[in-house]
This record gives sequence, structure tokens and C-alpha cells, in this order.
Amino acid sequence: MSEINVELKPLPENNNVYVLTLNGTLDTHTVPGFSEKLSNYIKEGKTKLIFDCKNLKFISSAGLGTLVSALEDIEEADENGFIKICSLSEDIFDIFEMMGFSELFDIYNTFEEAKKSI
Amino acid sequence: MAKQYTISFRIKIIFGFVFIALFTIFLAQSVSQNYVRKILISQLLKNLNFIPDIIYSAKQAIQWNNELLIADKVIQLSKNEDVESIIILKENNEVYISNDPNQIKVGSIYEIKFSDYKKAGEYLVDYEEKELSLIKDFYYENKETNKQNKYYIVIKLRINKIINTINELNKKFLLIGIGIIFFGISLAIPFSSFFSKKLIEISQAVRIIGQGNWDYIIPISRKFKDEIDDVAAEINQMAQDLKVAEHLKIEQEVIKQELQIATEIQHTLLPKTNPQFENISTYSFYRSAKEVGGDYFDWLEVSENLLGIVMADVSGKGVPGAFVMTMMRSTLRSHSKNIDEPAEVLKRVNAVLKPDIKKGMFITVWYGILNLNTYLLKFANAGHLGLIVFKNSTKTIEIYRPKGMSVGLVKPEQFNKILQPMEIKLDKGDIILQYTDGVTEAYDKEENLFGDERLKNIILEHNEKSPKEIIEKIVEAIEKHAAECEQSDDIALIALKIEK
Repeated sequence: MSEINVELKPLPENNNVYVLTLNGTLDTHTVPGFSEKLSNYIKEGKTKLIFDCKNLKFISSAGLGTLVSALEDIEEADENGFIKICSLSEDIFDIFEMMGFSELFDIYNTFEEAKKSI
Repeated sequence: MAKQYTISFRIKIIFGFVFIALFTIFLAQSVSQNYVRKILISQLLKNLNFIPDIIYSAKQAIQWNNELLIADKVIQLSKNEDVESIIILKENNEVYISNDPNQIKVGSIYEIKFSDYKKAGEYLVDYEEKELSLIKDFYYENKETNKQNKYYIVIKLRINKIINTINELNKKFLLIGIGIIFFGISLAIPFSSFFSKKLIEISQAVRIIGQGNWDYIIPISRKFKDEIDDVAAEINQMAQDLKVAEHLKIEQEVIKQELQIATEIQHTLLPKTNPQFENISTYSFYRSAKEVGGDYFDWLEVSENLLGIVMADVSGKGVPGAFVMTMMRSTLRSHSKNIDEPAEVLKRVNAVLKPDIKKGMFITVWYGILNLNTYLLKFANAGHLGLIVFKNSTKTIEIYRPKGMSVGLVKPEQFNKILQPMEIKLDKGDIILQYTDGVTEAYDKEENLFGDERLKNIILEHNEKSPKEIIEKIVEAIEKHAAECEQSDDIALIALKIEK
């Protein structure tokens, strides 16, 4: 069975920004749990998120949908809120680009770049 | 089957109590009876202080050969209420002195059965139901002959007192026994009803739970738990487990029904046939996974000589996916008539659908319009997979992927800004293929994707064949690749070939 491990840590330099490290696959089995976690974070007021996808192996369309609704929730809750995505694998970046998600999210090659952009 | 008798738990407990009580009393009675008897006898024997005196008199009577010297004592003793009779025997068992009323006369022979006697202190004692006799031997030395003669004195004692005492004791035991039985029963009744109450409670609870009231809980005593409480706890747990199991079953039933609805919708909305033209052949294939996805393809009659081709994938599965797919199909069909710009149609579709689509859901759509006379293919791609084109002139494959965001993701301003139209000219022998990610994302056992390289190679290898044959080859290859693996996503494929 596929699984996704989500680790949430505040950025040492800025406690308002949280780093979400994704490890595993986001598919039919793992998306519902992930989606619930993510919406809880946003409800708790964590509206500035960096998704570190270095170890994300696969993302399904439902997984992408979760990211979109998270972004909409964040924009509703906090006008300064954001989702930055970094360290996507080439395959997943292609999917992002193909579906037009690269226009929607701020995507960075490395975590450092994502951090600098804040 | 043997007849079954119901003996209530209560009666069993009472019987148990009474049996144990009676057994205990019986044991105590027989032990104490023996003990009391022994004590009484030894006391009686201690009181026989007249024996040395009578032996002394007997010796005198023997010495003086005058029975009167002892007869006086014997008569005196027979007034003692404990003494029944006294017999003095010579060594040869000849009765020397007797006051026994049972015809044991002086001069007769009286045999002593020593085997009946037991040693008790300095006496030999024979204890019978109503009589106790004891024997003591003594010696008389004849001074004339210097000969020792052995004599026996046999004293038969009345033991009425002992018997009475023991009878008294037994009566007391009987009373105590009856007392204990009543006490036991009166104790057993509340005790057993305490247990049988619990058992009745449990059997009622099981009936209630059996009727489907899974939340019914049998009360359990917290402080002093016993096995019955354990049973109750087990039943409570079982009810909870059953509840969960039933919910799961209902849930699964709902999912199954939902799945069926989604499958029916999908089957209703997908085209049943592929359009056929003189110069162009088409084919399509669809197979749903266990969980029906939102794959959608269509052939549209845009105008007399324009063929609309749609391949789309809704991000949700099941009923929500099928619902969005239905909206999408209606919108597309109603907005595509007589419009020869695919990008324009997709822009309209996004504008209509965006407000109505649930947050987090989106549709990737590839929409192409083929001019049946000029073979000019115009298309736009809203986030879907690239179009695979086989060019017969160069025997190569090109993938076209103009920019575009998925439908339903963003507001029209942003969507329209990014969506790019594209057009290519097709020629004789050219093939176009569109598909959903179920094709390229089919896994094998080692989790390798089917990928688009394999797809390209199959088309290259079979480019002489019809769209039907090519799609069949692709499906065959996917089946071979994903052998023993469950199909995780829907598979949809459409192909079109310019024949002449």
C-alpha cells in the first residue's frame, strides 16, 4: 500500500512560516488523509507554507486538487498567505506544468531558493 | 435428541450449598462423636478406683478360702450405677465369683475372647453398643505351695450415661445441621439471585443487542469483577465490534451503489460508436478501474465538415467525478456548435464550470477540431496530456502540448491568458492519439510505469494498421505490463487515422 509521511516544522528564521516535508506518494489511497491534515493546518492559522517535495514520488490529480483547494483556503484566510513548492522531481514538475499548476503556485528548484523568496 | 431439562442456576447453587453444609456436619458429627466417646470412656475408667480394693479383697478371700470376704464387696459394688456385674475367674476360666444375672454361675466355665478386647491403660477393654466390659489380671501367690496363680477380674459396666451423652450430642448436631441448611438456603437465595440476576440481565441484553441495538451496554460492577462480568464485558465489546462491522458493511454497500451509479453515468455519456468517414477511420477504447474515474471522451459534430474530438479527465472519482463529467459534457456540447476555435470553446467551458465545480476538483481537457476536407487540426489543451501525432511522411512521432491550465482551477482572466491555441496539418497515413493518464501510469509489479515511450513504439511499429488494431495492440501491451496488478485508474484511448 502506498503511503505519505507529512512532517510539519516552523522555519527557524521565521516562526510564521511552516515547512511541510512530503515523503511518499499522493494517490487515491493517501489523498483523503493528507487533505484533512492540510485543511487542519490552515484552520490552525498556518497559512504560510513551503512544501518540500524532495521525497514526493508521485502525485495524482486528486493530490493536485488538494493543493489547489488548500491554496484557495489560504487566500481566503490570509491575504499574505502563500504556498511555495520546492524540489519537485522532473516527472512531477512536468505534470505541474502540463496541467497549468506552475502558473498557480510559486515553484522553486531548491528549498534555499524558496526560503530566500519570502 | 435427548430431552433437555432446565434446572435453574439458583436451584443448583442452593443444592450445592446444602450438600456442602450437610457433608460438613456429617463429618464433624462422626469425628466429634468418636472423640467424645473416647474421652467419656477414659474418664469412666479413671473413676474405677474401687478395682485395687476389690482385687485386694479377692486375694483375701482366696487366701482364707472364704468367698464371703469378697461377696460383701461385690454386693456393695453392684449398687454402683456404673457397674453391671463383676466376675472373677481362675486361670482355668472357672468362675470363682459372679453376680452376673445372665446365668454365669460360680463353678461354671467362662471363656474370655481376648481378641475382642483392646488395651486401654492398665485394662483390657471391650466396647460394645450398650456395654463396656474390662478385664484386669492379678496374681495370688500361695505361700504354702509357693505357686503363683493367675486370676482375672471381669467388670461389666453400664454405659447408658455415655450413650445418652452421645445421643444428646447427635441431637445437637441435628439441630445445628437443620440450622445450617436453613441458613445456607437463606444465604444461597440472595447469593444465587445476585448471579442469576446478572445472567438474566446478560440474556436479556443479548436479545436486545441481537435486535440491532448495538449501543446497549450491560452494566459491569467495577470493584469486584467476576467471570460473569468478564462475559458481560466480552458481550459489550462484541456489540461494539458488530456495530463497527455493520457500519462498514453499510458504508461498503453505499460505496458499491455509488460506484454503480458512476459507472452507469459514465457508460451513458461515453459514445457508443465511433464516427466513420470515407477517408478517415476512428476508434476508441474505455475500461474503468475498480473505482470509476472521471475519464471522458467524445466525438462532436461541430458543423458539416468539422469533427470535434474531446479527451478529458475529471480529478475526482465516483459519483462526484461522474457529476462533474456530466456538467462538462453538457457545457461542451452546447458551446461547441459551429465554433471552429477549440481554445474559445474551452474558455467558455471554464467560465461556465469554474463557479460550479467543488473546490479542489478540476478537469484536464484536450479539445481538437478536425476539418474533414482540409485535414487541418486545430486544438487547445487545458492541462491534459500531449497529443501524440504519427507523421507518415517522416515516420516519426511528435508530441504537441500547447500551454493551458486545467478547467475549473482558476478564474477566466487567468485561464484565458494562458490557454494557447495550436494547429497542425494532417496528411495521408498520419495518426493522432489521445489518452488519459491511466494508460501511461499503469504500474507493473516492480512499480514501473507503462510510460509514453512504449506507447510511441507501438504506434511506430504498427503505423500501417488501423486505429482499431493500434489501440488493441496498446491495450494488449498494457495488460501484459500490468499483469497481476490491479488496474488503478481508468483507461481511455482514442485514435484517428487519415486513410487517404
